Amino acid sequence: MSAHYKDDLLETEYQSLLFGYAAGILDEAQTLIVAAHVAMSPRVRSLMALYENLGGSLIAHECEPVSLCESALDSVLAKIEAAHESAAKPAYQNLESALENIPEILASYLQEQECTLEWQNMFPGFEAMEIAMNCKRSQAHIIKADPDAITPQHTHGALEITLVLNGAYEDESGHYKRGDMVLSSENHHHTPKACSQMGCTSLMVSSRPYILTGK
Amino acid sequence: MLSPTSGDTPDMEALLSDVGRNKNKESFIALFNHFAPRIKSFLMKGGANEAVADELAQETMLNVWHKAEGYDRKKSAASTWIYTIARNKRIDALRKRKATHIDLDALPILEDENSPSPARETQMHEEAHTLFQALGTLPQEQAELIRKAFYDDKSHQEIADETGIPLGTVKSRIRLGLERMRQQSTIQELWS
Repeated sequence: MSAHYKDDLLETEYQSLLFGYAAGILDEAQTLIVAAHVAMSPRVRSLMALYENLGGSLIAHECEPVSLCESALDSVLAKIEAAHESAAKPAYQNLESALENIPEILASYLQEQECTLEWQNMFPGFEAMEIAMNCKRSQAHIIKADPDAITPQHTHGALEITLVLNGAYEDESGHYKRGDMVLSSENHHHTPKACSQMGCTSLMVSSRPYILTGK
Repeated sequence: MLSPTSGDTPDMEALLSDVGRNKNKESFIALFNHFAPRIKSFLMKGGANEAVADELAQETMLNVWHKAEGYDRKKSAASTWIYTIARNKRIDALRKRKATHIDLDALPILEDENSPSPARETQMHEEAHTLFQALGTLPQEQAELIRKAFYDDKSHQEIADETGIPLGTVKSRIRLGLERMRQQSTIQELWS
Protein backbone atom coordinates (compact mmCIF):
# COMPACT_ATOMS: atom_id res chain seq x y z
CA MET A 1 0.00 0.00 0.00
CA SER A 2 1.28 3.47 0.73
CA ALA A 3 0.99 4.69 -2.79
CA HIS A 4 -2.69 4.42 -3.50
CA TYR A 5 -5.21 6.59 -1.81
CA LYS A 6 -8.87 6.46 -2.55
CA ASP A 7 -8.94 10.14 -1.81
CA ASP A 8 -7.33 11.98 -4.68
CA LEU A 9 -6.31 14.91 -2.49
CA LEU A 10 -4.46 12.58 -0.16
CA GLU A 11 -2.71 10.94 -3.09
CA THR A 12 -1.58 14.39 -4.15
CA GLU A 13 -0.33 15.08 -0.62
CA TYR A 14 1.54 11.80 -0.61
CA GLN A 15 3.19 12.51 -3.95
CA SER A 16 4.03 16.02 -2.73
CA LEU A 17 5.84 14.57 0.25
CA LEU A 18 7.94 12.22 -1.86
CA PHE A 19 8.78 14.88 -4.41
CA GLY A 20 9.39 17.46 -1.71
CA TYR A 21 11.89 15.14 -0.06
CA ALA A 22 13.76 14.69 -3.34
CA ALA A 23 13.82 18.43 -3.93
CA GLY A 24 14.89 19.11 -0.34
CA ILE A 25 12.00 21.44 0.46
CA LEU A 26 10.21 19.63 3.29
CA ASP A 27 10.38 20.74 6.87
CA GLU A 28 12.37 18.74 9.37
CA ALA A 29 9.55 16.54 10.65
CA GLN A 30 8.27 15.71 7.19
CA THR A 31 11.79 15.01 5.98
CA LEU A 32 12.33 12.57 8.82
CA ILE A 33 9.15 10.60 8.24
CA VAL A 34 9.68 10.38 4.48
CA ALA A 35 13.30 9.31 4.98
CA ALA A 36 12.16 6.53 7.32
CA HIS A 37 9.43 5.49 4.88
CA VAL A 38 11.91 5.35 1.99
CA ALA A 39 14.31 3.32 4.11
CA MET A 40 11.60 0.74 4.81
CA SER A 41 10.25 0.37 1.31
CA PRO A 42 12.36 -0.60 -1.71
CA ARG A 43 9.52 0.33 -4.02
CA VAL A 44 9.32 3.86 -2.69
CA ARG A 45 13.09 3.99 -2.78
CA SER A 46 13.15 3.41 -6.51
CA LEU A 47 10.58 6.13 -6.95
CA MET A 48 12.68 8.49 -4.87
CA ALA A 49 15.73 7.60 -6.93
CA LEU A 50 13.85 8.69 -10.01
CA TYR A 51 12.93 12.08 -8.56
CA GLU A 52 16.48 12.57 -7.38
CA ASN A 53 17.62 11.71 -10.88
CA LEU A 54 15.70 14.72 -12.00
CA GLY A 55 17.62 16.93 -9.58
CA GLY A 56 20.87 15.45 -10.84
CA SER A 57 19.96 16.01 -14.44
CA LEU A 58 19.10 19.65 -13.77
CA ILE A 59 22.61 20.12 -12.43
CA ALA A 60 24.09 18.22 -15.35
CA HIS A 61 22.12 19.90 -18.12
CA GLU A 62 20.81 23.24 -16.96
CA CYS A 63 23.36 24.73 -14.64
CA GLU A 64 25.91 26.67 -16.64
CA PRO A 65 29.23 26.29 -14.83
CA VAL A 66 30.19 29.20 -12.60
CA SER A 67 33.90 29.21 -11.78
CA LEU A 68 34.84 28.75 -8.19
CA CYS A 69 37.34 31.01 -6.49
CA GLU A 70 40.90 30.27 -7.51
CA SER A 71 41.92 28.56 -4.33
CA ALA A 72 38.87 26.28 -4.18
CA LEU A 73 40.37 23.08 -5.52
CA ASP A 74 43.57 23.43 -3.49
CA SER A 75 41.58 24.15 -0.41
CA VAL A 76 39.47 21.02 -0.83
CA LEU A 77 42.53 18.89 -1.60
CA ALA A 78 44.23 20.21 1.52
CA LYS A 79 41.21 19.25 3.60
CA ILE A 80 41.28 15.79 2.10
CA GLU A 81 44.91 15.44 3.15
CA ALA A 82 44.15 16.63 6.62
CA ALA A 83 41.10 14.47 7.17
CA HIS A 84 41.34 11.52 9.43
CA GLU A 85 39.60 8.35 8.61
CA SER A 86 36.03 8.99 9.55
CA ALA A 87 34.94 7.14 12.62
CA ALA A 88 32.57 4.26 12.21
CA LYS A 89 28.95 5.17 12.71
CA PRO A 90 27.99 4.77 16.32
CA ALA A 91 25.71 1.85 16.77
CA TYR A 92 22.45 2.74 18.34
CA GLN A 93 21.69 0.24 20.96
CA ASN A 94 19.57 -0.64 23.90
CA LEU A 95 16.37 0.37 22.25
CA GLU A 96 13.34 -1.09 23.88
CA SER A 97 11.39 -3.68 21.99
CA ALA A 98 8.83 -1.23 20.61
CA LEU A 99 11.66 0.53 18.83
CA GLU A 100 13.55 -2.52 17.66
CA ASN A 101 14.33 -2.61 13.98
CA ILE A 102 13.29 0.94 13.36
CA PRO A 103 15.13 2.41 10.39
CA GLU A 104 18.63 3.48 11.23
CA ILE A 105 17.85 6.97 10.02
CA LEU A 106 15.27 7.32 12.78
CA ALA A 107 17.37 5.62 15.44
CA SER A 108 20.35 7.84 14.77
CA TYR A 109 18.08 10.83 14.71
CA LEU A 110 16.74 10.02 18.16
CA GLN A 111 20.29 9.62 19.32
CA GLU A 112 21.50 12.87 17.83
CA GLN A 113 18.58 14.77 19.28
CA GLU A 114 19.40 13.15 22.59
CA CYS A 115 15.82 12.10 22.92
CA THR A 116 15.09 11.01 26.42
CA LEU A 117 13.05 8.07 25.19
CA GLU A 118 10.54 8.84 27.86
CA TRP A 119 7.00 7.90 27.17
CA GLN A 120 4.07 10.01 28.22
CA ASN A 121 0.66 8.50 28.75
CA MET A 122 -1.81 9.82 26.20
CA PHE A 123 -4.86 7.81 27.04
CA PRO A 124 -5.39 4.18 28.07
CA GLY A 125 -3.31 1.86 25.92
CA PHE A 126 -1.37 4.66 24.27
CA GLU A 127 1.94 6.28 25.05
CA ALA A 128 3.69 9.00 23.12
CA MET A 129 7.17 10.44 22.90
CA GLU A 130 7.67 13.80 21.30
CA ILE A 131 10.68 14.26 19.05
CA ALA A 132 12.01 17.77 19.39
CA MET A 133 11.83 19.50 16.02
CA ASN A 134 13.01 22.75 14.72
CA CYS A 135 9.99 23.52 12.62
CA LYS A 136 6.98 25.70 13.07
CA ARG A 137 4.46 23.88 10.97
CA SER A 138 4.89 20.26 12.00
CA GLN A 139 5.41 18.20 15.09
CA ALA A 140 6.59 14.61 15.41
CA HIS A 141 5.75 11.90 17.92
CA ILE A 142 6.39 8.23 18.28
CA ILE A 143 3.17 6.58 19.37
CA LYS A 144 3.09 3.21 21.03
CA ALA A 145 -0.24 1.39 21.17
CA ASP A 146 -0.96 -1.76 23.16
CA PRO A 147 -2.49 -4.74 21.39
CA ASP A 148 -6.13 -4.06 20.53
CA ALA A 149 -5.96 -0.48 21.75
CA ILE A 150 -8.43 1.74 19.96
CA THR A 151 -7.78 5.42 19.36
CA PRO A 152 -10.49 7.57 20.87
CA GLN A 153 -12.09 10.30 18.82
CA HIS A 154 -9.57 13.00 18.28
CA THR A 155 -8.98 16.05 16.20
CA HIS A 156 -5.77 17.01 14.53
CA GLY A 157 -4.28 19.59 12.23
CA ALA A 158 -4.80 19.76 8.51
CA LEU A 159 -2.73 16.70 7.72
CA GLU A 160 -1.60 13.78 9.81
CA ILE A 161 1.09 11.44 8.50
CA THR A 162 1.55 8.05 10.15
CA LEU A 163 4.35 5.62 9.42
CA VAL A 164 4.00 2.16 10.92
CA LEU A 165 7.33 1.21 12.53
CA ASN A 166 6.43 -2.05 14.20
CA GLY A 167 3.30 -4.12 14.52
CA ALA A 168 0.23 -3.09 12.59
CA TYR A 169 -3.11 -1.36 12.88
CA GLU A 170 -6.34 -1.19 11.01
CA ASP A 171 -9.22 1.14 10.50
CA GLU A 172 -12.30 1.30 8.34
CA SER A 173 -10.18 1.87 5.24
CA GLY A 174 -7.60 -0.84 5.57
CA HIS A 175 -4.89 -2.75 7.35
CA TYR A 176 -1.51 -1.08 7.71
CA LYS A 177 1.75 -2.83 8.38
CA ARG A 178 5.36 -1.97 8.98
CA GLY A 179 6.66 0.52 6.44
CA ASP A 180 3.22 1.76 5.36
CA MET A 181 2.65 5.48 5.36
CA VAL A 182 -0.89 6.63 5.92
CA LEU A 183 -2.19 10.15 5.46
CA SER A 184 -5.35 11.53 7.00
CA SER A 185 -6.91 14.89 6.52
CA GLU A 186 -8.84 16.71 9.19
CA ASN A 187 -12.20 15.68 7.83
CA HIS A 188 -11.23 12.04 7.77
CA HIS A 189 -13.05 10.26 10.58
CA HIS A 190 -11.76 6.90 11.53
CA THR A 191 -11.13 4.70 14.56
CA PRO A 192 -7.72 3.05 14.25
CA LYS A 193 -7.20 -0.13 16.24
CA ALA A 194 -3.82 -1.68 16.99
CA CYS A 195 -3.12 -5.23 15.93
CA SER A 196 -4.12 -7.81 18.52
CA GLN A 197 -0.81 -9.67 18.74
CA MET A 198 1.88 -7.05 18.42
CA GLY A 199 0.25 -3.75 19.09
CA CYS A 200 1.58 -0.94 16.98
CA THR A 201 4.41 1.56 17.13
CA SER A 202 4.29 4.39 14.69
CA LEU A 203 5.92 7.67 13.85
CA MET A 204 3.39 10.42 13.48
CA VAL A 205 3.86 13.85 11.99
CA SER A 206 1.02 16.30 12.24
CA SER A 207 0.70 19.85 11.12
CA ARG A 208 0.32 22.48 13.72
CA PRO A 209 -2.62 24.76 13.21
CA TYR A 210 -1.92 27.08 10.34
CA ILE A 211 -1.48 30.48 11.91
CA LEU A 212 -1.71 33.50 9.67
CA THR A 213 1.27 35.66 10.30
CA GLY A 214 -0.23 38.70 8.63
CA LYS A 215 2.92 39.63 6.82
CA MET B 1 34.51 4.08 -21.85
CA LEU B 2 32.08 6.49 -23.38
CA SER B 3 28.39 5.97 -23.54
CA PRO B 4 26.19 6.96 -26.45
CA THR B 5 24.50 9.78 -24.55
CA SER B 6 27.55 11.27 -22.95
CA GLY B 7 29.06 12.50 -26.20
CA ASP B 8 32.66 13.43 -25.69
CA THR B 9 32.36 14.10 -21.98
CA PRO B 10 34.27 11.78 -19.70
CA ASP B 11 32.39 9.00 -17.99
CA MET B 12 31.53 10.60 -14.67
CA GLU B 13 30.28 7.34 -13.22
CA ALA B 14 33.67 5.73 -13.87
CA LEU B 15 35.48 8.66 -12.28
CA LEU B 16 33.29 8.57 -9.19
CA SER B 17 33.70 4.80 -8.88
CA ASP B 18 37.44 5.24 -9.14
CA VAL B 19 37.41 7.76 -6.32
CA GLY B 20 35.32 5.36 -4.23
CA ARG B 21 37.43 2.28 -4.84
CA ASN B 22 40.90 3.65 -5.25
CA LYS B 23 40.83 7.08 -3.66
CA ASN B 24 42.26 8.32 -6.94
CA LYS B 25 42.94 12.03 -6.70
CA GLU B 26 43.24 12.56 -10.44
CA SER B 27 39.73 11.26 -10.90
CA PHE B 28 38.55 13.42 -8.04
CA ILE B 29 40.06 16.52 -9.61
CA ALA B 30 38.31 15.73 -12.89
CA LEU B 31 35.03 15.34 -11.01
CA PHE B 32 35.67 18.54 -9.12
CA ASN B 33 36.36 20.49 -12.28
CA HIS B 34 33.18 19.21 -13.86
CA PHE B 35 30.73 19.31 -11.00
CA ALA B 36 31.84 22.00 -8.55
CA PRO B 37 31.09 24.90 -10.96
CA ARG B 38 27.70 23.36 -11.78
CA ILE B 39 26.83 22.89 -8.12
CA LYS B 40 27.80 26.47 -7.49
CA SER B 41 25.57 27.52 -10.36
CA PHE B 42 22.72 25.37 -9.02
CA LEU B 43 22.96 26.99 -5.60
CA MET B 44 23.14 30.49 -7.02
CA LYS B 45 20.00 29.90 -9.04
CA GLY B 46 18.29 29.30 -5.72
CA GLY B 47 19.43 32.69 -4.48
CA ALA B 48 22.57 31.79 -2.53
CA ASN B 49 25.15 34.56 -2.85
CA GLU B 50 28.34 33.74 -4.65
CA ALA B 51 30.55 33.31 -1.60
CA VAL B 52 28.09 30.95 0.10
CA ALA B 53 27.54 28.98 -3.10
CA ASP B 54 31.30 28.67 -3.57
CA GLU B 55 31.76 27.40 -0.05
CA LEU B 56 28.87 24.92 -0.26
CA ALA B 57 30.13 23.62 -3.60
CA GLN B 58 33.51 22.98 -1.99
CA GLU B 59 31.94 21.26 0.99
CA THR B 60 29.81 19.15 -1.32
CA MET B 61 32.90 17.97 -3.20
CA LEU B 62 34.71 17.25 0.05
CA ASN B 63 31.76 15.07 1.03
CA VAL B 64 31.90 13.41 -2.37
CA TRP B 65 35.46 12.36 -1.60
CA HIS B 66 34.56 10.95 1.80
CA LYS B 67 31.39 9.17 0.78
CA ALA B 68 32.38 7.91 -2.65
CA GLU B 69 32.97 4.43 -1.30
CA GLY B 70 29.21 4.03 -0.99
CA TYR B 71 28.60 4.98 -4.61
CA ASP B 72 27.33 2.26 -6.92
CA ARG B 73 27.04 3.16 -10.58
CA LYS B 74 24.39 0.54 -11.08
CA LYS B 75 22.12 2.44 -8.74
CA SER B 76 22.58 6.05 -9.64
CA ALA B 77 24.08 8.45 -12.09
CA ALA B 78 27.03 10.42 -10.75
CA SER B 79 25.07 13.65 -11.20
CA THR B 80 22.18 12.27 -9.14
CA TRP B 81 24.38 11.04 -6.36
CA ILE B 82 26.25 14.33 -6.18
CA TYR B 83 22.98 16.25 -6.36
CA THR B 84 21.73 14.56 -3.18
CA ILE B 85 24.89 15.61 -1.37
CA ALA B 86 24.56 19.20 -2.59
CA ARG B 87 20.90 19.23 -1.59
CA ASN B 88 21.73 18.11 1.91
CA LYS B 89 24.51 20.66 2.21
CA ARG B 90 21.98 23.30 1.28
CA ILE B 91 19.55 22.08 3.94
CA ASP B 92 22.37 22.07 6.50
CA ALA B 93 23.56 25.53 5.64
CA LEU B 94 20.50 27.51 4.78
CA ARG B 95 18.10 26.03 7.27
CA LYS B 96 20.66 25.79 10.01
CA ARG B 97 19.94 22.23 10.77
CA LYS B 98 21.34 18.90 9.97
CA ALA B 99 19.82 17.27 6.94
CA THR B 100 17.90 14.15 7.67
CA HIS B 101 19.43 12.22 4.92
CA ILE B 102 19.44 8.64 3.97
CA ASP B 103 22.10 7.33 1.71
CA LEU B 104 19.99 5.59 -0.85
CA ASP B 105 23.02 3.73 -2.06
CA ALA B 106 23.97 2.48 1.35
CA LEU B 107 20.59 1.22 2.42
CA PRO B 108 20.22 -2.44 3.12
CA ILE B 109 17.09 -4.04 1.78
CA LEU B 110 15.12 -4.44 4.96
CA GLU B 111 12.09 -6.25 3.73
CA ASP B 112 9.91 -6.76 0.69
CA GLU B 113 12.92 -8.41 -0.83
CA ASN B 114 10.77 -9.85 -3.52
CA SER B 115 9.54 -6.47 -4.68
CA PRO B 116 10.68 -5.46 -8.10
CA SER B 117 14.11 -3.98 -7.80
CA PRO B 118 15.08 -0.99 -9.89
CA ALA B 119 16.36 -1.73 -13.33
CA ARG B 120 19.90 -2.22 -12.19
CA GLU B 121 21.23 -2.79 -15.63
CA THR B 122 19.87 0.45 -16.93
CA GLN B 123 22.59 2.93 -17.52
CA MET B 124 21.63 5.34 -14.83
CA HIS B 125 22.91 8.45 -16.51
CA GLU B 126 20.85 7.59 -19.57
CA GLU B 127 17.86 7.24 -17.33
CA ALA B 128 18.54 10.66 -15.87
CA HIS B 129 18.89 12.10 -19.32
CA THR B 130 15.61 10.59 -20.50
CA LEU B 131 13.89 12.10 -17.52
CA PHE B 132 15.37 15.47 -18.23
CA GLN B 133 14.12 15.30 -21.81
CA ALA B 134 10.69 14.38 -20.51
CA LEU B 135 10.72 17.55 -18.40
CA GLY B 136 11.10 19.47 -21.63
CA THR B 137 7.88 18.03 -23.00
CA LEU B 138 5.71 19.05 -20.06
CA PRO B 139 3.29 21.95 -20.19
CA GLN B 140 5.09 25.08 -19.08
CA GLU B 141 2.96 25.51 -15.97
CA GLN B 142 4.02 22.09 -14.69
CA ALA B 143 7.68 22.21 -15.65
CA GLU B 144 8.11 25.66 -14.14
CA LEU B 145 6.85 24.58 -10.71
CA ILE B 146 8.99 21.45 -10.72
CA ARG B 147 12.09 23.48 -11.56
CA LYS B 148 11.20 26.07 -8.96
CA ALA B 149 11.00 23.44 -6.24
CA PHE B 150 14.45 22.09 -7.07
CA TYR B 151 16.19 25.37 -7.61
CA ASP B 152 14.56 27.80 -5.25
CA ASP B 153 14.59 25.72 -2.11
CA LYS B 154 11.06 26.82 -1.30
CA SER B 155 8.32 24.74 0.24
CA HIS B 156 5.08 24.13 -1.61
CA GLN B 157 3.48 26.77 0.60
CA GLU B 158 6.20 29.30 -0.16
CA ILE B 159 5.87 28.63 -3.87
CA ALA B 160 2.13 29.20 -3.55
CA ASP B 161 2.65 32.45 -1.63
CA GLU B 162 5.18 33.72 -4.12
CA THR B 163 3.36 32.82 -7.31
CA GLY B 164 -0.17 33.48 -6.12
CA ILE B 165 -1.14 29.99 -7.30
CA PRO B 166 -3.28 28.20 -4.69
CA LEU B 167 -1.38 25.60 -2.67
CA GLY B 168 -3.56 22.72 -3.88
CA THR B 169 -2.98 23.74 -7.49
CA VAL B 170 0.79 23.91 -6.96
CA LYS B 171 0.76 20.38 -5.60
CA SER B 172 -1.54 18.95 -8.24
CA ARG B 173 0.36 20.54 -11.13
CA ILE B 174 3.63 19.10 -9.85
CA ARG B 175 1.98 15.73 -9.40
CA LEU B 176 0.58 15.76 -12.94
CA GLY B 177 3.96 16.73 -14.34
CA LEU B 178 5.74 13.98 -12.44
CA GLU B 179 3.20 11.39 -13.55
CA ARG B 180 3.75 12.34 -17.16
CA MET B 181 7.47 12.11 -16.70
CA ARG B 182 7.17 8.74 -15.05
CA GLN B 183 5.27 7.46 -18.06
CA GLN B 184 8.24 8.37 -20.22
CA SER B 185 10.81 6.96 -17.89
CA THR B 186 12.63 3.85 -18.96
CA ILE B 187 12.01 2.34 -15.56
CA GLN B 188 8.32 3.07 -15.52
CA GLU B 189 7.43 -0.53 -14.86
CA LEU B 190 8.46 0.04 -11.28
CA TRP B 191 5.54 2.26 -10.70
CA SER B 192 2.67 0.44 -12.18
